[in-house]
Amino acid sequence: MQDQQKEVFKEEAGELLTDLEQALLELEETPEDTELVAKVFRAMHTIKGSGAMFGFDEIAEFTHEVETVFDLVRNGEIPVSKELISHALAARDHIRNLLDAADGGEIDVVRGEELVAAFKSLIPGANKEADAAVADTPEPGAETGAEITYRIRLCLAENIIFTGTRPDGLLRELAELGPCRAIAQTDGIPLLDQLVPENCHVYWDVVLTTDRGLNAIKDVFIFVEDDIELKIDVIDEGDYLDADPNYKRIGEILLDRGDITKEELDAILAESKPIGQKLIDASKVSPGKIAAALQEQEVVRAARSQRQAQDTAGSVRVPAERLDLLVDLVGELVTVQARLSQAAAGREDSELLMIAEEVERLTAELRDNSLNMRMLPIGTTFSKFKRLVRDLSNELGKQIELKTSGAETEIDKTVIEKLNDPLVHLIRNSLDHGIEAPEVRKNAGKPAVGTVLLSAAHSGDSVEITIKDDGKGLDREAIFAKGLEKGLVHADAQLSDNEIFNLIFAPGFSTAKEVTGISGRGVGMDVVKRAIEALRGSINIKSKSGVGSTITIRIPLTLAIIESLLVSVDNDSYAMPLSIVEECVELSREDIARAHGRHLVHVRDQIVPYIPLRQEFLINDGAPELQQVVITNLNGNRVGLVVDEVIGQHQSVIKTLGRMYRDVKGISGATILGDGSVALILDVNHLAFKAEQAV
Amino acid sequence: MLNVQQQAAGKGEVVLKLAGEVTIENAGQLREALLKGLTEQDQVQLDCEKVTGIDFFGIQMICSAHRTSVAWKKRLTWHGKLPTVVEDAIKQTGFARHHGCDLCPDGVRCMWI
Amino acid sequence: MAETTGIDNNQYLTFTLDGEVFGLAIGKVREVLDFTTVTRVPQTPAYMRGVINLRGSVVAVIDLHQKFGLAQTEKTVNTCIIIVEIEMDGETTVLGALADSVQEVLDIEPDQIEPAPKIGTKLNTAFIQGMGKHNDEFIILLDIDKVFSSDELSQVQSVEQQAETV
Repeated sequence: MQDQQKEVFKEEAGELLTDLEQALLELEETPEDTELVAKVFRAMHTIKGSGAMFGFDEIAEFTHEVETVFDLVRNGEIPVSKELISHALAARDHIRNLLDAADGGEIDVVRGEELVAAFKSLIPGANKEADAAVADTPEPGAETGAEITYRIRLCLAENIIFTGTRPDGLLRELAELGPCRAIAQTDGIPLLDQLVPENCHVYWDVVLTTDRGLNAIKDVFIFVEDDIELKIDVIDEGDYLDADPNYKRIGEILLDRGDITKEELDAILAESKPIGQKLIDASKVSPGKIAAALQEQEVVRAARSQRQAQDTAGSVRVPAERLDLLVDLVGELVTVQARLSQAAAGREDSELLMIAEEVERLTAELRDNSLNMRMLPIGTTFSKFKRLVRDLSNELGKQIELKTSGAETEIDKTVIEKLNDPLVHLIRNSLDHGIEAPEVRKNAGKPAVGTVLLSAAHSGDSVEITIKDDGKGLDREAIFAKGLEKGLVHADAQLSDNEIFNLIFAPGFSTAKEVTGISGRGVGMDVVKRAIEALRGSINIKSKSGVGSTITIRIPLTLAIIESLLVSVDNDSYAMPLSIVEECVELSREDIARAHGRHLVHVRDQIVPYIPLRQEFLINDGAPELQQVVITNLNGNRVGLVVDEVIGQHQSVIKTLGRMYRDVKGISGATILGDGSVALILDVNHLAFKAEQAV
Repeated sequence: MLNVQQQAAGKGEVVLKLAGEVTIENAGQLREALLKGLTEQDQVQLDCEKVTGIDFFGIQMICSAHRTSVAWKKRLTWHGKLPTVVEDAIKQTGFARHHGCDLCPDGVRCMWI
Repeated sequence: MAETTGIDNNQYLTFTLDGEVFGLAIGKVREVLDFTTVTRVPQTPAYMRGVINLRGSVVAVIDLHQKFGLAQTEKTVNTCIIIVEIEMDGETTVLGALADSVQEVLDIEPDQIEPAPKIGTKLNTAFIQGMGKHNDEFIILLDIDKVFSSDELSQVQSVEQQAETV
């Protein structure tokens, strides 16, 4: 049990640290954003508190020091500076190390002390003890802000007691901040015979006047943030507190609760003139303004609650292995369902056929939904790169900005993980070899700050990720020369710019053997390419000397199951993604003869090139009289594939062929058919690419 | 520790004498007593003079009992003076009222004032 | 897979290829299947017979005959596929190997194993772990990991390059 709690803490702390890093990077760009400062402080505070609770003392102590400094930032006593952010990022890394070390590694005490000292040096000469105390106890002397009155609506989860929090305690803490009046709303309390004594059926409206600031109020609820609903409004005028808050505020409270509609409130307001008069007089605004204000409140509330619903729309933590297991099972179900359909088709039983169809429909839905569960927005990966770019550009003495777009693009979880290393290397390369030093850029008439644009977007059934830099671009001659040297090209080969640039992906072009987290310069681009191809994707680079380079990566959306078209060649079955198939036409011997040896076929008014698969697969005899051409559309280019027969649609659970077949081109995997036999999945992209080359 | 003593006080009336702490730990116990009282009698009086402490859950319990009494057309009132500690707790947890809660029928002084 | 110590290491599954008896450390053997339909993968060397469906997984099958330079395995009623687990480039891979027939599991003590001869067999001696003596007969003990070392990859590539020039 203890260990499980520690695991949960480590997981959550890890997430907090990621959020923290992101917030710090954003804060660097917008130093005035107090919300970000608050976010940073809250993250520290939570790590400190939870850390102490679960026995991670070193983390709690260290974080406390940093949190103290950030409290000062929050109160405006220390400005947000690049130095502060650098220290904070370093502190975050240190906490990360402490977290990992908690498993039994070494704790770098010296580093911790270094960082604390660095932080303390940022504090403008004040008494450090007193500063530390400010965060914990209310000091009458410390003027942190003007006296403001807040209206707080507090709703606790029914089982709040199970979080170890007593409602009395919360109210008491609030009262410590200043004069406080709480009203318990009891209409939710059931009658005695139905009452569960340990449940909390009450919510509160609290009016609190304090000079400690909004943060101090929110701090009271930090540890129960997830189990409560908190609504804090500022009521600026102090005199409202003297009048009877209960009486005066009922209308708004009722409106907030949704117990009455605006019309009813208006009616009531109109009736009880004294209240309305009081309201109007005290706030010195016209009834029209009040109506407008009420309207505004509603609108904002609606927007906020919608956002909140989206955020906390009941998500569940699930270990990734369980998801993988689920997807595997779905895969097997799909395979068996194919057998069922096949068996049903072979019988004359219409009821069985109907059932098989129903099962097919449900299986397809289940497949789509379970695969969808593994989709995550690529944004989290993108923000990691911001940190990388920041650190690296400092290291290299260059000024580089990372811009991102399409962070909300969703990609399968494992793909994101496998893309991480390749992307890191591509970005490092851009920064290292692409973007020039500031002076060089200025001389070339470019802005001193280089830009790397990282974007992701869905395109058909794939995801397209591009890394675009405005650096110096690739050197055509140098690459050609190197290609020559490595024996990859012939001296008199006529190669387009594109072909030359893509040489950098060829195996043997560079000497690096592996993609690691700490690789050096001149990283193995071929390893990157292999990693992308292992995901059944493709990578391409375009470049213009002096202007910059663009690397485009395309990855199919799902790894596991695709809707495919089954065909046969020489009695062997092959599958290709249905999404790229446009149509099928016949190809007779005459058609072939008519094309005079070129692999072209007429499809209505267009001439479409085709790839004879029999030839591709070196099966030189036995082609049937009438063959079929499957016309596919790849990124706007139409290419035909000639097969013996088109069998039909198939939900293909993709199986890899294994290491032995890793370098086989033209085949990207295999799938198991309803009758248990194996069909190979065609890599149409590659086949088309090869055909292009041959022409 | 909570001690609940029942004391008959006239026809259809009972006084529940509470002594000790009225908290979440023994809220169940209090509930039993209150239920019994409200079921069997017409009026239940709560004597809290010997109560040394009460928390939110205890107060919530009494509030529920109060609502029950109104619903069942019975009466629930305090008996004797409330010790300061109870009064403070009622105020702090927000159960105190100026004008009485909306449940009490007209003419009856609400226990929560 | 780590080296297995103890009794496992001394047990070998024996099988025949073209009349000769070979042995495989039992620790590497997962199971033995009857010969089933093997789907050929185009543009691969001849000894890579293809792939089979092993309870939902796609497993590559190697024709040991051809790997060792003999003629292609003739399918008979005794032909089997031995499913093995090997180490390749630091990863564990499951493969199938075609055998003419599978015999018994024999116990061969280390002192009964002699080093591979330099000459006298048609095989690349790198594949041979040793010569095991059993009942006056010699059994060629294969080091299955070495049989499929990573020069496989360059083999596959060169075939493809050949095919392209066709």
